[in-house]
Amino acid sequence: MWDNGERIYAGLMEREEMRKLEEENQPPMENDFLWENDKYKLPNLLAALGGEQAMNRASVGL
Amino acid sequence: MDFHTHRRILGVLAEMGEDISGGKKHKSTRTPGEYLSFFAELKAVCRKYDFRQTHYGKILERLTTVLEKAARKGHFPVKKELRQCEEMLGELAAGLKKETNVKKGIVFLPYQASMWDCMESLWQAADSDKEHCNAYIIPIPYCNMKEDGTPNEWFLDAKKFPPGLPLLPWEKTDLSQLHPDIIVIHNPYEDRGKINCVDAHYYPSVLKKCTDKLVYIPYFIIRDKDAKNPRYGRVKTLANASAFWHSDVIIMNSKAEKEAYIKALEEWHTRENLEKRIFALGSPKIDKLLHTGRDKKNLPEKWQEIIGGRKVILYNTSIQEFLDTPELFIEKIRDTLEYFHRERKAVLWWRPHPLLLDSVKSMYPKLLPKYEEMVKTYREEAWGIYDESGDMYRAIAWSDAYYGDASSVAVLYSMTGKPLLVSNCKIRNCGKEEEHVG
Repeated sequence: MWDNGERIYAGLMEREEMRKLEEENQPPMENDFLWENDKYKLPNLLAALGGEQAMNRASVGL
Repeated sequence: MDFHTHRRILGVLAEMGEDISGGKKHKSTRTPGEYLSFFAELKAVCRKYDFRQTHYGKILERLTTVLEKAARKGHFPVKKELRQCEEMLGELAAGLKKETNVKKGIVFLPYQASMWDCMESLWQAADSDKEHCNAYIIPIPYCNMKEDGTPNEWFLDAKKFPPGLPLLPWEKTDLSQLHPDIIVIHNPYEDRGKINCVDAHYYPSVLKKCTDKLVYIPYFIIRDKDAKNPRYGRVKTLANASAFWHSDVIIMNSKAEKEAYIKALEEWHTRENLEKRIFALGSPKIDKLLHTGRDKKNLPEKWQEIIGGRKVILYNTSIQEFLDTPELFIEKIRDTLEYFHRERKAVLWWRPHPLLLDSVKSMYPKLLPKYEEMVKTYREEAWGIYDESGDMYRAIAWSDAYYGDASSVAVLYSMTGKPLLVSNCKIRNCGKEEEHVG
């Protein structure tokens, strides 16, 4: 069973307090967006996939 | 007990209350004899569903006695017996209303099949709880809009939903009659949709009258980072929609997103009101994201051949970027396709937003020939994948990195841990530096 669907369902059916259910909700961590610019473009993304270049903010001088 | 039956019983009791209290000029819905038959059925129902039989049984016996007398006289009870009847009916209805052994009815009203993901796991939870709930899915009609804001063409996506879903036909279901306990929507707008608009019967203000609990699940998820950014203006735009006025429950993915919406909506509502209606319970889209894997059965053989063991770049083109800078956007697509046509280390998996073509048609029709030509050529040459399915999650699962607009797909992708590069329409990957625009 899928977590968020179950949680919403329990709330709508009034089986649990909405506030309590909110506390249980742990959305996944978000990666930072990297934004394309003059220095960092598609070749860099492909290089990151090949392990030739780390894909992180420091690598692109951000 | 099914919620229809429960409502029907309460409805008949209410009608009977009106009939006996209505006086001589009132036109009765039923005769005393018909109500006697109804009581006999009601006794059987209470037995079947294990309601408080002794309690209801006594009330029904007394009501039956009074009504039998009334039936013999050919009119409803009067004076003392009328008051007794009213009291007993009130007690019976109040008790039955509180019965817990009544299945709730939940109706899901998706319009675009490709957006079903924002409701799917909630429906699964409801559908698997058959003991307490009847869950229905009614795909509703929607239209795309002409440039002048009038309806262009109407659609019904019923056949595009995953096979096996128990869909009800919209044209045969009167929601005001059905009056389900809960209605779940993902369309927030009434007649203000710029690209799509649902049939007026399904506007949030109309649906509000057809249910006890109108639930809105926004399709668009906002990153926590954006939600916490006071300069991020998208929330205000999204919040200015009918569903935020009329919904009893609004589901957000995270607390940061909820807080951003509350701040935006405080212009029109009190915080107290909003905190009673908006809840950060998580989005069904996240459920789908985390549970979709690389299943070869769901990947066409032709696509498997194109991939051939190479890394896959998901190229996502959304509507907002197109609306912001239409000419640049189209030129950026051309540039990206050209880059990947030359670059064979990775495979391009192009997935335009399902409404992108409609947007080009309705908002900037003069760009349509160029866009359609690009798509046609890309599909004919078939060196990359063109994904026009509604299944965004397959594309996310099978790809190794994301390239494209900072759209809702990018937001979801950022939660997978895979690399992600947000494209910039002003930057070119093919050609010379001087081709940069702006």
